[in-house]
Amino acid sequence: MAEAAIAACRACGYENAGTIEFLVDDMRNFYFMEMNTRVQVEHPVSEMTTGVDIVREQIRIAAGSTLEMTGSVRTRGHAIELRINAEDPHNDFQPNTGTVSRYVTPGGPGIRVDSHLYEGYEIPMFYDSLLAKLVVWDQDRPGAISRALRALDEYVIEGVVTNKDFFRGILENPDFAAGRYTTAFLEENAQPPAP
Amino acid sequence: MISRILIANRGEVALRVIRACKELGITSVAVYSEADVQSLHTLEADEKVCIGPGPVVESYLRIPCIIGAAEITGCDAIHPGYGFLAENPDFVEACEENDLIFIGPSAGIMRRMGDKSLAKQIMKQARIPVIPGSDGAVADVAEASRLAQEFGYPVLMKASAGGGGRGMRMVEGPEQMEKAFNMASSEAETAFGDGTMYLEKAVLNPHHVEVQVLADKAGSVLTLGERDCSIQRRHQKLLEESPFTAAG
Repeated sequence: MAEAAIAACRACGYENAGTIEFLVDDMRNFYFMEMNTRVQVEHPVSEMTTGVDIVREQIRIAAGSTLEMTGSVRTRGHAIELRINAEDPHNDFQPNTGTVSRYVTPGGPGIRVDSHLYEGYEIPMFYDSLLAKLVVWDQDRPGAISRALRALDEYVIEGVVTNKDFFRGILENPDFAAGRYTTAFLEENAQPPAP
Repeated sequence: MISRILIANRGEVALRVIRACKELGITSVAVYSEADVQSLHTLEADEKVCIGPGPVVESYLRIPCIIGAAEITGCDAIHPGYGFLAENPDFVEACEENDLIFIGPSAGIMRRMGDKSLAKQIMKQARIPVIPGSDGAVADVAEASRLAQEFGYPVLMKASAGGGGRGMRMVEGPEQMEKAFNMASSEAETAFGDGTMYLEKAVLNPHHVEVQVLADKAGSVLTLGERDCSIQRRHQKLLEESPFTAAG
């Protein structure tokens, strides 16, 4: 897929950061789906496994700098990102707003929180429901899953209903843990978390 | 050289860019709506410009206001973040016309890749595997039905200008085609102002895997591993991981 991505960039004369999306079927055939010509929400997982600061590179490239490395970066360890949204999993993921009354971010090794929240922040009603991206890294996937569960435990967001606890059900699901999941996963495991 | 960057966004991604600017010794300029006076990107940037009321069409999507804000603050570049104007080639052109560096690809590349059916054609020519589908727009229900018969059901009707699952319908069999086509097309018209549809064979229960790339002006390309983004709710990603290691 990396080779196909490089060929895709060459084919369109691409410049700056981008993402090539593929669909991969159960026989591991992959098909080009689309190219996103921007930095993506989920770019931190790649930053965690490659050590490359994608946004900094975007700025450097726009200023005319050339890449110091080309080809494919060797990744290290495993990273997972959870999108914490102001959505109520008990009410069909309806978006909601509120004022953040208590806010404690997780810390310790392998944790990154990209968020604009702070205690006392009144969430405006006009915008996207994304509140925070909780990103974890560890040397392997089981370690990253344990770390994500630990970080969720530490993460306190009060005053607005979020989907934070919804992730526990995903991370603790045996099929997810075994890496047996596809885009049908959430439909197949549709029960909301216990209240 | 870039020394002052206007960030045409809000929320966590605006903060992300502010952080990169600080580390590079670049002055960051935030734009903010009246609803974002107390938002962290407004408070954290080196400078800030109010660009209008809360609703996005009156602030974060108003190209002239954002270009104007960049000019009055003497910025030499604009970072669009994601969403809002990040994939709007008209915005990129407005930057180019006003001698502002747009931190992203050119308007031409964005236009070609933003047109989903054209992008597929370009990839097909480069011998990159694509899902069997219509080469370009599907004119009407009759053509959609004929193509679906050729590729085999189920098929997906998708908006050419679409994204995020809007203007998209799965069609399981011929009897569903007319309704699906019309609903997807009118949804696309409402969401993107363009009801053009294309069709492709549905790959059932796939993994959604993406490759992060960086490419410089000299044409060098770097890939940064694969991300599995298969955990989605109604085509909205919720959890992403890297590398892609999923079992069969």
